[in-house]
Amino acid sequence: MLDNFLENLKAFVEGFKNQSTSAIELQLHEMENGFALICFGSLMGMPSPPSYLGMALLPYLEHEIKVMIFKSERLDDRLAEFFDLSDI
Amino acid sequence: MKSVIFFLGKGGVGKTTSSVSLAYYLAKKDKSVYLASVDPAHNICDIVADKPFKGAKNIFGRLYAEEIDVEQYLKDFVHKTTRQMKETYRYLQIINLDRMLDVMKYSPGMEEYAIMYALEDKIKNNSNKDYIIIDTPPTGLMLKIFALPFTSKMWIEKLVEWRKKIIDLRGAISNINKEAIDKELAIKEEDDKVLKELGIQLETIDFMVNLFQDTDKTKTVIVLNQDMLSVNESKKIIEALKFMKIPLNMILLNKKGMIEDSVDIKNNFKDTTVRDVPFFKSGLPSTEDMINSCKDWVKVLIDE
Amino acid sequence: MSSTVLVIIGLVIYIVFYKTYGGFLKNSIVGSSDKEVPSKRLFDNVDYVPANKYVLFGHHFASIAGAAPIIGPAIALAWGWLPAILWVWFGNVFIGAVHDYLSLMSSVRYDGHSVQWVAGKVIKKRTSYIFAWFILFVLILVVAAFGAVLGGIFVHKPAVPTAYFLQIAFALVLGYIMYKMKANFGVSTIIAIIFLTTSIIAAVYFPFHASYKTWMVVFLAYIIFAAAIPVNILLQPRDYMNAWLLVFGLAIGGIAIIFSFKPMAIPATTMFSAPIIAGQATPFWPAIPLIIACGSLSGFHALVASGTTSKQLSDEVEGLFIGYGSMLTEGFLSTLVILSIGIAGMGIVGADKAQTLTANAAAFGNHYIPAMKASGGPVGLFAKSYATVVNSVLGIPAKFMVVLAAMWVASFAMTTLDTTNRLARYTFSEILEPLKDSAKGVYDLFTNKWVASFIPAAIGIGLAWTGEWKVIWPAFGAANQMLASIALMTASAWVMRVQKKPSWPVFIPAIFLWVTVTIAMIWYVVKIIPIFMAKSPVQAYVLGAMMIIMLILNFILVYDFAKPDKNQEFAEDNA
Repeated sequence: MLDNFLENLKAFVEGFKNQSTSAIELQLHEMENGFALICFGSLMGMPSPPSYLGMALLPYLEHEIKVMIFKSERLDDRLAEFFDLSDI
Repeated sequence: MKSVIFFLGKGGVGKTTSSVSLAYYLAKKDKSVYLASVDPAHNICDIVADKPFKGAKNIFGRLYAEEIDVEQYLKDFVHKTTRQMKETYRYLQIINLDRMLDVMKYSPGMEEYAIMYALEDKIKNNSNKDYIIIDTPPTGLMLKIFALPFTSKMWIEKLVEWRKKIIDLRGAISNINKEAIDKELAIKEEDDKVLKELGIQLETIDFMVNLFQDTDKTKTVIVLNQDMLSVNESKKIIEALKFMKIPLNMILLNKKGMIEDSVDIKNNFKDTTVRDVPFFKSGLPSTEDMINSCKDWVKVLIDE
Repeated sequence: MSSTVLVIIGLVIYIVFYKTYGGFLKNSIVGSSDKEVPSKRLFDNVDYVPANKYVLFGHHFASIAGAAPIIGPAIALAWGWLPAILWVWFGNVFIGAVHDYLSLMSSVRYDGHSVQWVAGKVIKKRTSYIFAWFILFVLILVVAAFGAVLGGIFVHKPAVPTAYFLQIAFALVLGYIMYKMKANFGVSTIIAIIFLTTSIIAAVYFPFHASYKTWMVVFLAYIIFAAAIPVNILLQPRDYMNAWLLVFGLAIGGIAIIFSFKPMAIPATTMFSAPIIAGQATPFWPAIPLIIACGSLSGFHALVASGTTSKQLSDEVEGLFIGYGSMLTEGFLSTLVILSIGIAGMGIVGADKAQTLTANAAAFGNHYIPAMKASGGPVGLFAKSYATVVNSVLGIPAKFMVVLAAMWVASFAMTTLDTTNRLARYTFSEILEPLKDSAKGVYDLFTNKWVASFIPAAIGIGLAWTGEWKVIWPAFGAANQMLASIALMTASAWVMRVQKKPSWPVFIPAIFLWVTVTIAMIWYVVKIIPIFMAKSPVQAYVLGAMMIIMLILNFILVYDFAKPDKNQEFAEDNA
């Protein structure tokens, strides 16, 4: 009984943590996406070839490239994700 | 190291001959000299040796000459990246990774980067010598090499700025909700491999920029002939050097007398010291001839 | 009728229907699927991450709870409390919560794609484009509606703008503390609560007076500026403070009303056509969904549900709790609003007004809206009633509670103003997409970030300039319910054509809603726009144009729904 209550309380508190970071998490993912695009846009069809800097950074940007690829898969459906920011 | 001297100019004007001449002159005076060429035409071997050689070869006295193997630097760079990729990635949705990276070496800018990186490496490794002389590739490529550190610097600085913002934001989120950020991602600047790599790249860039703009240590010479093409191209080089705040020390008119009805060089380049070297009518000059041909203009570059 | 009894009835209705009707929807309509939920199957630790159901509930509820579930019901009381509360209870249970739940689940079955995208797949390709038009109109009209209502309360109660300025200033500081200094979360939270309390207390002693039109200009500048800065500076910390405002406001208010044991002091019913919109006799049906949107039924929720929530649902069975359940919770909030005004409203309108209003039901219906206007509009009336109830039950001084309640609504409304502007400039450029090649110059101009930001904001504030929230609010409601209509039709199409299950629980509400809103909009264009034209011709033309465009798109929509493309494959869900 008490465990259950504590679990729920924990979730409640976590909900507040969520409320204080959901918008900046969105911003972070887009920045990581953007960083990868700057370095490797050509992987996503952008006309600029990767510079030697892109190459040098390539081994360390696994996470960002993943984010870039995931986001690029859903470029045709981006609007609704941001409705979260709004409260009507 | 007292000086790095760059010989610039159009193809075929006699850069290599001039740079070798200076190298011989200094070696005769018992200075330690490192002479290198990043010109893909690899002309140094033709003058200083009977056949092509790899690595730095002792020509005479304390003179070492080398045709810098730019291709090798490029290969090494690609190889280093591939190796690190295999180490760092467990899987990736980019297939045939190494094949892709091979193609990357032809990417625009790669060749200039390799040359710049090679120059940094060689200059640093030979900083114990008295003089370093660099025979450069023809104008087009050389100007790109000069420009590369400057343009890269801005690019790197921007990347660093954005990277720091990303790390900061990750730190802010992680501070509130640890699970929101994957534990393998860096949340502090000192842990971020990307920033570290950018820092390393910035070091190369800064080294080159400082070297190019160091008026005490760095000397540049534009070699030209007495024709209009040569003159015009040299003027373009001067524009570019001015723009990048790289000092120009001398215009060296090579093969003077080769052409009749030639252009008046001194008039065209009023702001710079102009010296000349006469045309050697009989094929390749001897070592003695080359050393003698320098006597007029060495003092412009070197104090002793 | 005692308010406490009504609260209990409301709770019982919601719980019973959640278990029975909700359970029915879950088992017979949504059913189960072999495929794993997208949060796990498509896990990318970026957008697709399974979340704990309580956390997700909180997140989803916070996204759908705003100022609208408070403003709408306050206005609808002109018809008496009974029709309003019945719509909040049964409209919610049979239409609104169904809409939210099925939007969520159909999105889950479509790999977490938005209802706009799904509509393009199960109805017709151009439906997705029509959707974008409705979204844009909602975004513009919500700015107009909220702007007008906020302007009203800012003028009527000058303590509120002070609280608003202070909250912004404090949010900037809090953002620095939380995200730049990376202070301990517990400490930041305490600071946030101190900031909120300070804003409320300071506001009471330092009111800020300005004219309505001044506020309109301030809002416009605020919107453009706030929508142009990074989210960690103002938006995120402000969202966090709002979450606490919501919790406190709900908790204090909820407890106060449940333990108030007071009778409703306003008539249960007044007349079928009370003079609400533009002072015209407004028939309860079909106008009610235009007045009470959130709290009962709101198309906007479908976008929230299918935008983020569906990508984080950790198990299909939790969908009912989150989709259906959070809508019912919002209904509960609206119930509290109705009750608080019901028991305390007459005490704050002033003795002579109260006498006129309570003389008889008809008198109430006729004079309610003007009395509300004199009390600071819907926000003012709610805030003062809330303060009275809380004061009488919990003893907290009313003058602070008024500011708390008003600030609660105002904060959410202010958040909506700039975040919808961010969405609007993106939607605006999505809509102009067809012009990209055919009218490049125009396209480039209008998709410029500042132009695209300015135009929707200017239209919105331009409409609000008139101060006629009585006219603008139902227009916002109409656009919002048009969205709900498409969402319900999408859900129906999904159930009928893909799930191949009996769809009457979603189809009948969809048709009912479509008919209701269409008739309401036609009535609005025919009866209300001309009246508005007499007072503010420019705005009337703009508003009229929007309504007519929506009506036309609306007919195209239902045509497409009835006659789907023969070639269109009904992309199997989880394709």
